[in-house]
Amino acid sequence: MRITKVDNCPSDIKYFDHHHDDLENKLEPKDVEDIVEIFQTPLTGTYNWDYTHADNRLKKLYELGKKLNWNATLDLDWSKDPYPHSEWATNPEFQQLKGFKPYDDLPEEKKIECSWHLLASSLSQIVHGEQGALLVASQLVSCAPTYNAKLYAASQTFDEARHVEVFNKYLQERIGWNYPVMPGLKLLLDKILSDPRWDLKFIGMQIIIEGLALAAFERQRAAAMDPLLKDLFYLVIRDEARHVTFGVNYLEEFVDTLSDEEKEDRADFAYEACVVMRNRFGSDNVMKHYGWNVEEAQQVLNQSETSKLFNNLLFSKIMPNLKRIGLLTDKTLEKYEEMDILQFQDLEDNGSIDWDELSQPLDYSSKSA
Amino acid sequence: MKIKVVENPPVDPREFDLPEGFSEENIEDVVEIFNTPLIGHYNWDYTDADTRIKKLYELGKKLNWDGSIDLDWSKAIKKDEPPVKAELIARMEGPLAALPEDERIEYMRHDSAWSLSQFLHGEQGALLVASQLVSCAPTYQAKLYAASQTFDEARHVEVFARYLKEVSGIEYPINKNLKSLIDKILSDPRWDLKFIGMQIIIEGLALAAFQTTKETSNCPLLRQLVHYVIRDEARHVTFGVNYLEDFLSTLSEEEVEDRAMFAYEACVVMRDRIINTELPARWFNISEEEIREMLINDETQDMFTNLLFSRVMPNLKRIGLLTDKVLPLYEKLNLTSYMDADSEFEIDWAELNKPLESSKEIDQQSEKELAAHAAQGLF
Repeated sequence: MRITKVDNCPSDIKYFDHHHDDLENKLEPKDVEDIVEIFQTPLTGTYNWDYTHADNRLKKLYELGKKLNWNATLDLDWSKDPYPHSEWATNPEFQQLKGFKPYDDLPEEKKIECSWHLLASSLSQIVHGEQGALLVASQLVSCAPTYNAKLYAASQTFDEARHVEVFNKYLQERIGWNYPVMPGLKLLLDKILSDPRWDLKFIGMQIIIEGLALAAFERQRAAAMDPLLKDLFYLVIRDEARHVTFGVNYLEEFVDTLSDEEKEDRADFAYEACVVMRNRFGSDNVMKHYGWNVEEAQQVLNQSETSKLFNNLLFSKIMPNLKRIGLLTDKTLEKYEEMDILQFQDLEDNGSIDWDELSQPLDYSSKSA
Repeated sequence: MKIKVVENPPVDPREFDLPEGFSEENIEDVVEIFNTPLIGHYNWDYTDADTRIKKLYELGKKLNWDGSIDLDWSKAIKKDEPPVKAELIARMEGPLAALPEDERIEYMRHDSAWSLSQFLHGEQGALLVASQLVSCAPTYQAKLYAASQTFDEARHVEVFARYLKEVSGIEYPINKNLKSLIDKILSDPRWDLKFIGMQIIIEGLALAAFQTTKETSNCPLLRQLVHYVIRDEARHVTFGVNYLEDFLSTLSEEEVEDRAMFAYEACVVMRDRIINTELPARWFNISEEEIREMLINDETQDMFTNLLFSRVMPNLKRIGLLTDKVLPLYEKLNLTSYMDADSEFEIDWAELNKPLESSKEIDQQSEKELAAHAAQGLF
């Protein structure tokens, strides 16, 4: 066991050798060095001494979690040849850097290469985000006061581990490198993981980060060219939908028990988290990799209506859910208006549950088309 | 959401008389708070070699049984049926044998509910520790593995709670000594200590106790239930031994002595204090002290205690916690007889990998194992 402790997360791209071979068989345990960064959190946990549970929504979500427990090693087909890097990684119609001159000037094959870097960058952020979700979900097992929520949180913990596993496997075996965590996402993870208030952890992770992920995953699934990646997103989305549903249902009840002042605190926190997530500019580290000027690119992209819409749409799942759990207070409403994302508040939230949809057996092959 | 915060766990057994399909209004969550300064690790290196830990994680995903689907709840015994196999009842001696049959069955129902309740509370402790390990474990594979164990423990809590509610009809509060050990484990800032306490000591003892339940229970559902739990626990203990052996070798001698002492103290608590003295005391009007005396001087009980520790001792030895300093202490406790038995370290992958057995196979195993132990003079 070799463990290197670092004060900050790594900032360089990491390349995996032999990424087209079976990596696992090439590495000996002694070759693996674990790079860790410490966080501290005073955890206020609860024992629950009442194991009775009514047949309520949370219990049902837990039951679904057990039933729809897919296994990335068995349920995805890794036996086919990797999708070639000579092809576009994502739909050429939707390349986010279009309109930025240095990008437009690239020859097609370089643009294709760039599409793999952009995909690697966003999948890497997903892996790091899922690691955050894994850590938070596991802390909720201790912190959540009710019996049903503890069991449910345990099933989500396992889901998150499988997500880290599967995205990481894809990056290592099908792409061949990963990008470090972006400062904005890291800041939010740090805040969520070290805050002593469990409901705050919960709001940050279950409503903001998972809500954002749910919107982003659906888009990424549509844009992905590799059928394996489409299937992978399908499986993860099924889980995320359950997680967000749980978050909304549980928090709705819990936030209701808080004082006005405590509620404002949570509302502010949620708003700030949205700002951080909004300012994360998905392709920063790819820009740096190509030696392009990040600010210049951002300006060009900020002017593009499509890219604005694209970014705003990411909040289409978060806003109605924040409203549902009572965190769009009068004080924060205006700020969201300024961000131009208030328009989504009246979309359908994840509070009302479509059990048929959530209980559908896993069937992704037909959906990839 | 009705939540009642208490300072201590409840002390009275609870009989379930909940109406069918009771609603959320009837539920009050009784919680007790613990605090722990958690030192977590982000892991920024996601490379995984094909290690034993990775294999255990893969097995955890594959053997993920679901108590609602994979257990046959129609095979439960009724409340007026004896919870223990008839051949064992026939061999009973002492005050229990003297009781009229219906009273004896009622006593055994309570006795079995008491043990299963301790399993339940222990599993909640295991759930909390496993989940904290996700944050605390430094390596990538251990984090993933701990997440799968967290889910296992939740499913164990779920099935024991359901069994107590639907089959036993009684649930006993946590034994105060088990509680004090779990308190100590959950609030200690050193993750490896949490892990030694839970994974090696408590789970190790539980594994032996589950085994006994599988052999002696008269309830086909319970035999199947504990068998599936045993399959998971075998994986957990294997992980614990492998991971801790690696980790403890990175500690200083002084730190190792600390852990060795802690493990010894935990064993003392578990050896002498986790005996159900409350129930016989109440039932037969004897003092708990007298019962303890009786049990400690009883040879069969002594064999039984040693059997309980048959998993713990070789594992403690393997991970390096039977130091010269603590070894004589264990000798005084008379616990060293299994010390040189096979440790969980020699992993039997074929055994761990077997598909989950049917109820029928489990019943056959149960008969065979009971016969073997009976031949040695146990039970």
